[in-house]
Amino acid sequence: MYIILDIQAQLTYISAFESFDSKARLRQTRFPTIYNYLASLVESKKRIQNLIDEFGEAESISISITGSTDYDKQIMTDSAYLHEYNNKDIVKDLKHEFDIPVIIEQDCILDAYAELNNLGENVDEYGLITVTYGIGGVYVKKEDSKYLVFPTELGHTIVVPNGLECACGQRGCVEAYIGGVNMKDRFLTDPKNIEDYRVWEEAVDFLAIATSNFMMAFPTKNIIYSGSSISTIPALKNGIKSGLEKRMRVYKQPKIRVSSLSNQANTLGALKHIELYKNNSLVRL
Amino acid sequence: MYIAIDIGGTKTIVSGFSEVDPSQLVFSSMFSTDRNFDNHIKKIREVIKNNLNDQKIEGIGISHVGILDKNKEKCIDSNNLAEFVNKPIKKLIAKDFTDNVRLENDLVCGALAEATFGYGMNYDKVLYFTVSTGIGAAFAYKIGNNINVVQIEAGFFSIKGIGLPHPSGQVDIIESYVGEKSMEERFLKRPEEIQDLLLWEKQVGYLSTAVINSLIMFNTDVLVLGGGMIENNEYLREKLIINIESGMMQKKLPTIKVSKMGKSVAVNGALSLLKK
Ligand SMILES: [Zn+2]
Repeated sequence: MYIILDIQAQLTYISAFESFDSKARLRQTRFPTIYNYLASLVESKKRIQNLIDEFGEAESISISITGSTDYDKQIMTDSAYLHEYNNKDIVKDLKHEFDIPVIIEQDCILDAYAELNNLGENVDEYGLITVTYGIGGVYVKKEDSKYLVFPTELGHTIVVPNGLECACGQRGCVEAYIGGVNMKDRFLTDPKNIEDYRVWEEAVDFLAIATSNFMMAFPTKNIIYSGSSISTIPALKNGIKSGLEKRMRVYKQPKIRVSSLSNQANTLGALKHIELYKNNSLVRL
Repeated sequence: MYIAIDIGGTKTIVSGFSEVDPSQLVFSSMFSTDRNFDNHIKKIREVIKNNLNDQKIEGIGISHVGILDKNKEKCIDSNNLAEFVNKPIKKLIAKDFTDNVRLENDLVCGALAEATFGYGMNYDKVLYFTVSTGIGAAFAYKIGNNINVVQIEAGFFSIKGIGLPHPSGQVDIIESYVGEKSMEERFLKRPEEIQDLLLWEKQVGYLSTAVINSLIMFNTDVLVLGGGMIENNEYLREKLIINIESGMMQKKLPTIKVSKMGKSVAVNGALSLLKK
């Protein structure tokens, strides 16, 4: 059995899977994310133990977290939403408790892994762009038996020199304009409630700029969008194709698809992460 | 002898080395790139023959401006060398000389040169960023003994600007603002004739955006800045480094170096293609 701990900005999901098959889920529990690291650790340990008591021994634990990770050190180093988890060694803490292998990865990179069994299944390479509380971008290329993975921090590429201040400290990052949290700060309401079409026209253009910039580094044939904003806001979902046609002229337009994995993408990606890790097939750059 | 060739838009360099090592230079010849393809190939082959001194050619590495085909046999698109497009250049240059011949794009060669012989020698990941007639970058990463390169069209990064067009059809890309050609069209002067410091301050702002975006997208150990405009324009070079250091907050800054290879960078990259 594999345990997945998915710590999102609002909710934390803990799941048990019998195998690497996404349909082999035994149970999933969730609770509002606890911002105090130690309190969260206590709650997570208790729930993981309950799953072990019910379904038997776990082989490993895979964590998805909403923040940048130092993958070599297996630590989440910087999250705009979970400050108290920054640089905490959750991998070591869980290993110590359960005495099994534990791995951690940033949520949007795991979203890209989840697509290996979904929209990325029948293609050699793809770019995944997440549009949610923040903006992420990952390029995945299958080469022989390996997967080359380029995480890009796309949300923090600068699209307006000297523009709006971003949570990362830079100015003019695309996330400062269309990240869900920043849109909420700008318009004082959840993006889902914004009806002003000019806001969405501008948001589509920013997303098109980010996508075009992504393609200048990775001229991919396949762009997969995922995340709550793109899947729940029709103006974004319907506008991005023509938005990209206006902004990107030097390469052939990619095939654009929107993932249907929604809030399960992190969990399924974390499950896939164990499989890739076990097979030694990841080359993360 | 190992032959390394750099075919640029205006100049071509043909060099010979006794080993795959830039310090083992035997001869080097620089001449204008002849727009006539056949004449130019003839000239390159003559230079090689005249400098061989009866030595055997161990291999030929070629750096070529423009976009190459997937199999790296020929150039399939070039603004500067229209007559070179779709010609079997690799085969024609190496004919009767050797079967060990490799062709690569000039930006890729730049990154390879720095990753193999330059500031990236002791690092696994190298980002090479160049500003000359155009703006470009390439990311080299080492896996085992192999060096792989991702080419980045950094001059084509888009920003939300005033809608400046670019001949490519894209608007508001970095090259619409800082490209040599765009500047000439906007100000009717060659960039080096423009003395306006306020303008240059802005230009460096656009350039640093392109560098920072490349750094944000690629996890690199070292950033190597190169190209004529960076190596020869002190204000641009120093201001650019200051802007990068103060403007990139999201990640830890890599080591920043200014290339010392000058005009040899593409030849060195072509030479590195012959490394076993
Ligand atoms: Zn930012």
